[in-house]
Amino acid sequence: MVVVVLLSIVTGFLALMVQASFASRAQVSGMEGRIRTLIELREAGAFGTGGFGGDKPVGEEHFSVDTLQAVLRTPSARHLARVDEYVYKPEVDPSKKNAYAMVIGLHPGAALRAIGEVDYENARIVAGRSLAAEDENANVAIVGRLYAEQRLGLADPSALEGVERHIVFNKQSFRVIGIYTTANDFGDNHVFIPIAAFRETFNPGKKLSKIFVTVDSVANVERVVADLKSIPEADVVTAPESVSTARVTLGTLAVASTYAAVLLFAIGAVLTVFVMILSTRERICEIGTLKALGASNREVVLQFLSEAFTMSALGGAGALLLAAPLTAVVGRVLGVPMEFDRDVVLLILVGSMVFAALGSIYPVIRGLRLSPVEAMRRTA
Amino acid sequence: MNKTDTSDRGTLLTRPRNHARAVGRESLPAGVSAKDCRPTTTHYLAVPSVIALRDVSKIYQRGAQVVKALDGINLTVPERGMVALVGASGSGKSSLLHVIGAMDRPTAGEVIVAGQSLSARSEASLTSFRRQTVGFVFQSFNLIPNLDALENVMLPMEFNGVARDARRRRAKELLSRVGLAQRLNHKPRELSGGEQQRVAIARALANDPPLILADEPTGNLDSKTGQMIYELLKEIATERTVIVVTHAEPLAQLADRIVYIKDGRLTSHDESAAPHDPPLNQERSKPYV
Repeated sequence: MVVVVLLSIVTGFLALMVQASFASRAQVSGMEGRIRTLIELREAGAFGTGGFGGDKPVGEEHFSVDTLQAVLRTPSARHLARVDEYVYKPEVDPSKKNAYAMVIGLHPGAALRAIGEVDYENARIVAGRSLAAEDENANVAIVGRLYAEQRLGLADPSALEGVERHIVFNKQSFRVIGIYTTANDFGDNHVFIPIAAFRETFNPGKKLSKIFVTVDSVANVERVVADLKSIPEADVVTAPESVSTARVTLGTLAVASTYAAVLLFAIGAVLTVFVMILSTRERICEIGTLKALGASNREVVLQFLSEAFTMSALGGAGALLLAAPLTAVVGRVLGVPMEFDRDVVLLILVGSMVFAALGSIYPVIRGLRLSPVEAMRRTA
Repeated sequence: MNKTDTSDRGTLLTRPRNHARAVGRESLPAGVSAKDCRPTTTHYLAVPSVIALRDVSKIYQRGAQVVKALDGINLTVPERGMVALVGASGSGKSSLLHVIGAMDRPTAGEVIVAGQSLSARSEASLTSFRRQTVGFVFQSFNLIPNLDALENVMLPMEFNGVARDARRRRAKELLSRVGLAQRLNHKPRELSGGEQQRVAIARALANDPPLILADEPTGNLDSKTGQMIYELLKEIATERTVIVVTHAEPLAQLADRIVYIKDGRLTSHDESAAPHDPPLNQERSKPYV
C-alpha cells in the first residue's frame, strides 16, 4: 500500500511536470509562430512601444480608424488572421509614486499587450478576470499589479475578490474586474478598458495608437508587409532582427523545456526504480521462503514482476487521480494552458511499469543468487 | 498433558503413494553403520529410513574465521516418527536441518533423503526436491504477508502444478484440520502467533511430503501454544517423519527420539546437562515400527 502511494505521488507529479514541460513547449512553439506572423503598425514617425512622437491633436490625427479600414482594404487582406486596434492615453499624476501610467483601450479578446521597459509584455491575469465579449460597452477595467497596489491599495491581488474597487477617469467610473501582471513594474502600471468606453471617456476622435496585424502564415508575411507599407500614415514594424532574436530565444526555451521533460522523466524513472529496489530488498526473506517452498527462480521472478506491474498500474491510476485535478492549478500558476494529454499519460504509465519492473528485478535476482537459508536470514 | 483434538486429521496427513518405494532400505548409503545412529542403533537397520547422512560436514567462512557448523555427521532417521534435534545455540542443529532439507549444501559428505541423493544435484533439481519431498516449518512462521491463510497454503501446490480447484479444496481441508476453518481469508498480521504457525504447518503438508522439518517451531510462541503446536506435529509424525529443532527440553521429550548435537557433532546425550541427569532419549528410545 505504501509503495502504491509512493508510486502514485512520483508518477503523478512526473505526469504533471512532463505535461507542463510539453505545454510550455507547445506554447513556445505557438509564440514563435505568432511572432513571426505578427506585424505592428504605428503612426508614421512615432517610436517605441508607447507610440511616442506620434501624438497629434484630435482632428489632426493621421493614424486612425481610417488606417484600420485601409489595412482591411489591402489586396492581401485575406491573409490577415487577426487585426487588433489599440488606443493609448497617458495618465500622469506626479503626486503618485507611479506617476506615469497608461490607459489602453482595446476590444475584449485582443491580447493585453502591456508596454514594458523595452518591449511589449504579455499580461497574465492574477486576480479576477480579463475583458470578455459582454464587456464591450461596459465601464470595466483591468489594472496592473503595481497600479492596484499603489493607486487602489490592493497590495495582495487576491484581495480584489472580496472588495469592489472603482477608478474614475474624466468623471467616468470604471469597476475593476481584474488584476494582471507582467512581472515587470513598468508593464504593471497600466489600465486596460474596452475601446468603446475609452472613446466615450477620453474622446480621442478617430485616433488609434497601434494596430497589430496577425498574418495567417509565415509564407504570406512578406506580401502583407509590402501592402501595408503602401499606407502612408503608418510605419510597419517587422524588424527582422527582432524576429530573429525572438526565434533564437524561443528556440532556446523550446530546447530547454524538452530537456526539462527528459530530465523530469529521468528523475521519475530513478525515483520509481529506487522505490521498487527498496521495497523489494525488504522482501529478500520472502524470496528465501518461496525457494524453500519449492518455487523455481522463474516462478519467483514472475511473482515479483506481476506484483511490480500491478503496483505500478495501481500507482498509475492513483497518479491520474492526483494529477488530473492539479493540472488546472499548475497551469494557472505557471501561466501555461495545460490539458491532460492522453499520450503523455500513456507514456508515463508504460514508463512507470517498465521502471518498476526494472527496480524490482534487480533485488530479486540478487535474492535468487542466495541459498534459501541465506535469503531468509536477510530480514527474518 | 493437554491434547489437541486431532481425531479428524488422519486422511490428510497421509504420505504420497510412492513414498514407501522412495524411502526403502536400499537408499541407505554404503558405510552407514549402527554406530552412526546412537543411541537407537540396534533398531535402525531394521526399519526403512527416510534420511541417511554420511560424514556430512558444513564449513562456513566468516572473514578470516572458519566455522565448522557440522563435523562428520552420520545419521539415519526412519520413515515415521518425530525426532528432536537438541543442542545449544550455535551447536549446528539448524545447519543440519538445512542440509537435510536441501536448503543448504554440505561442504562434504553424502545426504540421502527419501531415496534421493542430494549430492551434486543442480539448483533446479534441489528446488524440485524441496517442493515434493520436504515441508518446512519456521520459527518466525515465514508466511507471505500479502496472501491470506488459504493462499499461503495453496502456494506450494501452485509451484507443484496442482490445478487451482484442487489446491483450493485441499488447502481448505488442511486449514480445517489444523482448526483454522474460520480464518481462511485472514492475512498473517490478523492471526495470532499460534494461528500463524498452524497455517505454516498446513502449508508444509500441502504437497503431502514424506518429511517435515521444523526449525524451532515454538520459539516465538508461549509455552501453552508451543505445547499445542508440538502435539500437532506429533500427530503428523504418525504418518511421516518430522524432525524438530529445539532447545526446549520439555518439548523435546514428546519426540520419539532425541538427537543431541554439540559443536557440529552428534552426541549420545545432553552434554550440557548435569552429570547425574540420565540422557532423556535413552529412556525413550524405541523401535520405529
